[in-house]
Order: sequence, then structure tokens, then C-alpha cells
Amino acid sequence: MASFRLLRLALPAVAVLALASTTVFTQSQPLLPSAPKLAFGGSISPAYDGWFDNADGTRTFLMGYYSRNWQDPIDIQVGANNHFEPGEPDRGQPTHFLPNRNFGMFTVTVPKGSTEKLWWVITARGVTQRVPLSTTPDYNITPQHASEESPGGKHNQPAFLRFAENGPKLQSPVDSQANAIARVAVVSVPMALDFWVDDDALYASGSNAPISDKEPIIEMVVNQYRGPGKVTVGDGHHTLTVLEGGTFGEPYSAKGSTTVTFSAPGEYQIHVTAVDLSGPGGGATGCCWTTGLFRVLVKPAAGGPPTGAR
Amino acid sequence: MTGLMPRLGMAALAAVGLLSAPGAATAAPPERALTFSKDIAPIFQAKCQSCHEPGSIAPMSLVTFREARPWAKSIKARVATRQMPPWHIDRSVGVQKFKNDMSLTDEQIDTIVAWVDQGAPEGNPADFTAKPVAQGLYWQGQRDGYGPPDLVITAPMQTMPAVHQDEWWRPMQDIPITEPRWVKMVEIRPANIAGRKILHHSIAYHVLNPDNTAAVNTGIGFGGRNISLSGNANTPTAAELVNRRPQLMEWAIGKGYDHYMEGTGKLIMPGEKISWDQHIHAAGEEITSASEIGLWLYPKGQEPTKRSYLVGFTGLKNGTAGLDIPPNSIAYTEGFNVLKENTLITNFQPHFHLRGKAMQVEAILPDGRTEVVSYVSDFNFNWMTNYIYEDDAAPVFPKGTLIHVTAYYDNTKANKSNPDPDQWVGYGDRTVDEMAHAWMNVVYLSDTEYADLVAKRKAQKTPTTTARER
Repeated sequence: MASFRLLRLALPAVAVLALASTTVFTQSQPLLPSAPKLAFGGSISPAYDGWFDNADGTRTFLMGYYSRNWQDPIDIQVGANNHFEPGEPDRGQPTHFLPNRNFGMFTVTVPKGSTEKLWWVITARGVTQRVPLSTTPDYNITPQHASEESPGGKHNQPAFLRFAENGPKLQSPVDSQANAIARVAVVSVPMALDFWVDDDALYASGSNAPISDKEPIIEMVVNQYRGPGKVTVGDGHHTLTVLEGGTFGEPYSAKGSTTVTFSAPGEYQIHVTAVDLSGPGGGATGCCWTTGLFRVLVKPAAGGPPTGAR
Repeated sequence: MTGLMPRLGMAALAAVGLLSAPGAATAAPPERALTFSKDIAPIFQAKCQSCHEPGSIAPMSLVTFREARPWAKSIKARVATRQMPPWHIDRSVGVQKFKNDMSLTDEQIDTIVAWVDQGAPEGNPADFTAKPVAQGLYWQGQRDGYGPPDLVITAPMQTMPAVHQDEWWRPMQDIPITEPRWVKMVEIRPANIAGRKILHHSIAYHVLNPDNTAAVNTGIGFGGRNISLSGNANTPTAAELVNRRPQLMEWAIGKGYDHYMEGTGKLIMPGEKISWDQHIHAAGEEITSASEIGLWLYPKGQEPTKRSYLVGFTGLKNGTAGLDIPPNSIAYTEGFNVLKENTLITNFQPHFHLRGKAMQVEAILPDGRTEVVSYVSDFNFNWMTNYIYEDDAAPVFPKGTLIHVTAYYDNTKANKSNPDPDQWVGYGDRTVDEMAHAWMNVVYLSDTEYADLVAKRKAQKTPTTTARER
């Protein structure tokens, strides 16, 4: 049975309310080479993770970021300190930045033939960093087909993810904002989140050596992506129930559930990611994981103040 | 598409701009008239032709006067700054005696520079004696006088599209031997000339016979977090050791061979396999190729008594997640590796990707003293040169020594290999991502062996640059 790991979510989730800040440090700070990563108070660099072409001629850019904080998340609203340029400043980027390296967190798709060079600009803790969405061939990726051969010459593919037993299957590094599933929740009332996942259970290792049978075939990761308050994930039922397979290289299916609880009213976005044996971000090779998006309107608790009231 | 060979070509074309670069040779040119036929061709044949001949790795041939003359200014710039031949180890610090030194002498550089300054004349064609041009592939070890390999294993051919994400091809193959044999030298090369354009690196992992688990290195520990290179500090079971699959050889673009210290080597046994890890980078044209490994064996009856282990000494003390190279910046990282045994280090090969700039390996001895082992100050992605120490110059350190690796990165437009200095760069296996480690072959010594060797060297007063520096 694969496990639903919540360990790396728990600390940021608990700490987020106390430490999340939208404070803007306007004083410019130097970014010293090899400065240590901080528990909190560090800056963020946008990270450009690659591009791929779609069948309809559009081109998609995969984006992530590097937070110089190993413990605490940072919240930066879309605006002067978190925007794209030129043009539309909001291209679906996160406003809730998790600690450390986060590969392939969202995509930006441009029309066929577009030549405009977009930049993602983040200012955090007084440090401004910007990166372009480049089309240099060196950054071409194949996010639905592993570039590393698995034992036997096969190629890993991302898991299929569903949020209803007979619902549509997602298989994409990150689903589009337009496809985000809308939900309504109430402050402090756990919102149920069910998911079904199917995977090829393939892995890759440099030497083709077997990997530990303790490795979960699928790891489900749930994170806050946007939203004004604290998000707590989990209610004590954090396991995936295997429906089929369970050994490496055999078709694998499982289902699981958790809950998401919101501390304050407002609009939130939640990332739900099925990470397969390639690991987070596919080990920075661009494949294989699948992320679904939820857009949650959180209402005040009954008898509580309306949204926005003090 | 920016492939590997185009980068070579671009670097060569850009060389004219480096004429006044720091570090250029400044010795007064010879006063006599110099000609290609009499003075330059012998130097090129000795130090340049193996790459700069038709069908070889370089983008232009320098075999004849007609071929070499158009490149005269570029040649001057490249040799005066010691970019070519690709021997980028610093000459003022660390070990300075090598088995495979391909660099030009100061006198040779002065001669080439003076010849260019004199107008790069041909001279009398009758003075020119051609050196035979090798046709097609060659083994560098054979060119360096070790003869052809005793055993060659070629991976299955596969095809890389013109534009595509990096790929990693990983077939497995038997090692075709019927009795245990000891390897004294290994070399990997692309299986055809076209493959030189796409093969970024190739590792031949050694799938072990259970009776050969002593091939697994356990003598190095890493400071900070472990990373997935050889040398994990755990105490593994026999089955786990078999699955460690040590590297029989690591090769990267521009590298030649590993030549183990006399009396040391790697044992291969019947039933074992090679598991290839071939990192392929698209080059703008569809190419079908593979890797092949050549093994030079000790004669029967001359088996060595010591094993040689290949270790990737990390330059990332905080693990892969700690690598942080901001856009348009110079950055550095460092790593600390603990020698758990008395250790001889027999070579140095820095490994980076496109933003690599320099690497220093330094020993911090148990008593606190430090010694620079080697420093490559001008790393070039296209030349992962392996600097193989002469046996009597290979540094030896007592157990408890820290091997401190400092890695420098140039993510600015000044780095000609940089595909995009505006990008943030972190750790990853892709060519556009970065990493940093020092590949070094090591041999472990017992306390008695270590004491004997130190005493022997002290008696001989073996001179090294490190000793002189101190």
C-alpha cells in the first residue's frame, strides 16, 4: 500500500499563519554568493523549467521557483512584487511560495507563432529576481514522456489523476487555471478531497539498479497555491488504498482521501499533485507528475463575520 | 539548436577577441624567422593533430599549411591563453606531474605566437613532413602508446532527434569474459564520429558478481547530506552492495581514459554486466550512435594487489537542493568529504555542466593543515579533461582528512557556453541544469602501507608544487 505523505506539508501548514507575510521590504539587498539558505527571511528566484509544443500549435512554458527559505512559506500577492511583463501581470503564478526548490508549479501557454518574450518578476525580502520564458532548444522538455529509460528500455509516463471515481482523467504536469475544479467551503469546516490515481509504476535509476520496495509508487501532495488564510491539510486518514498492482512495473491504481481546512474566508487555490517514482519535479528532468487545481470559495462560518469584515 | 560541436566552433570563432586576455604568454618571441613547414607543423603534429585532423573532434583541421593558415590569429589567441590544447589545470598550485600532459611548453607557445606575429609564413614546403592522418575513430589510450584495448563492448545504437529534451539511454550488456581479470586502464568513446555531437556523458556501471562486492567503495563519507554518488557511509548488506553498481568508468565530453596507478586496478568477473547511463543532448540533426568501452587488462600472472575506486567528491555540502545560481551572476559552492581510510588520490577530473567555471580540490588534514591538490581555473564544458597524476606525485592523505571541493559557476554572458545567462540555475541532470563534483580514482592503504609510503617519499624528497608552495 502506498502512503500518503503529509510530513513535508505539516510544518509549513502549521507555521503559515504565524509567519506568512505580504510585507514588502523596499530596501534593496545584495544576494551574496553561497549565502546559506535561511529558515525564514530569504528571497525567491523564479525558475524557468522548460518549454514544449502542443498539438494545436500553441507553446507551453513550465515554471517553478527557488525559495531561499528551508522552513517557511512566503505569501506575495500578484502585483508589483509578483508579476509577468510585458502585458498581463497575472499568468496563474502562485502567491503562496513553499520552501526550497519547487519544479514545474504552473504553466503559461502562448498562441501559435507568438514571439513576445515574457518575464516573471518576483521581489521578496528586498531582492528582485526575474527570468525570461525562453525558447532556446536546450530547454525543450517532454513532460508526458520520461527522458530517462527505465529498466527494460521502457519510458515512464505521468500518473492519471481523477477527483471523482468516474470523473475525467488528468495527465499533465499542471492542469490549466481554466480547468480548475470549483468548490465551496466554510471556514474551519474540513472540505473532503477524494482522488483516484492510475500509474505505470515505472522508475528510472542511473545504474538500472532496483530501488527500495519501501518507495511509494505514488505520493499525493496537497498544497496551498493561493489564498488569504492558513490552509491545513489532513484529518488523520492519510493513506492510499491500492485497488490494483502494487509492485514496480505493473499497472497500479489506488484511491485516497484527505481534508482541507481554511482559516479565513476568501478565494483559494489548492494544488493536488500525484508524484510518481520519478520524484518531485521528476528529479528536475520535467516528467512525470500530474497536478490538478481546485478553486475554492471559502465562506464565513455560520454566525461569523462576512468576508472582508473585521 | 546548440549542440556540442557547434559550441566548439563558436568558441574557436570567438577566439580572436581573446588576444589580450589575462594570462597570455608574454615571453619575447624568438628572433629567427619561423615557418609552418619547419617550426610549427612538428608542434601541431605532436600536440594538436589528434583532434585537429579531418574526421576528428575539432571543427577544423590544422594538418596542412593551407588548412591552418586561415586560423592563425585564433590559434595564437587560444594557445597564448592556454585554452588549447585543453589542459586547464593551474600550473602554479597543486600536483604538477601527469601521465597524460598534453599541454604546450612555454617555448612551444612562444614559437607559435612569434610565427603568427611574423605573418604566419609557410616557408619551404620541402621542410614539411606529413604525419599520417588517422581515419575515423581512435582510442586515446592507443594514441598515447598503450596499444589497442584488450576488450571492447559497444552499446546498442539508438537515435536522438534533431530537437529534443536530453535523454538517458540505459541498456545492459554482458562482460564477455570466462575467468576473472584485472583492468588496468579504461576508456569510453562515442561508437561513431557523429556520436561525438550528442554524447554528453556515459557511465559504465558495473553490475557485480556477488563474489566481487569488494569493488564497492565504502571508504569515503560526505559532509552534510548524502547524495547519490559512490561512497555512501552506511554499512550495507551484501545484497545492497551488489545493487550499488559502482562505476567501471565515467566519461564526459572531452575526457580520454582512466589509467590506474601501477599495481592497482578493477576486478571484473564472469557473469557480470555493464549497465550504461548515456546522457544524450540533441545537436540540431538526427543522429544514431551509442557508447563503447575499451578495457586494457593486466596480463595473467601480473594481477594487482590493490583496487582502484572511482569517487565523485561532491562540491555541494548542502545537497542538491542547495545549489543556487542566480541570473547573471558568479556563484560558488563547496563540499566536504571525509576520508575514512588512508588514501592515495590518482587523478582529478572536474565535472560541471554549462555554467561551470573553476574547481579546487583541497585536503584539510587532521592536524588542521591544508594542501591544494589541484585547481582548474578555466573549466571548459567541452573538455572534461582528466588529469592523471604520475604515480610518484599522487598525493596521499591519512584517514580523517577532509577533501574540500570548491566549485565556481559563471552564469553571465562572459561564459561562451552559457545558453541563457538570464536564467536561474539549480541542480539537475539536464545539460542546462548544473552540478559539481570531482571525479577522482582512489586507492586505500593500511596504516603500515601508509607509513611506509610516507617514509619512502620523505626519503626520496619527492618534489611537488604543493610541497614547494608550503
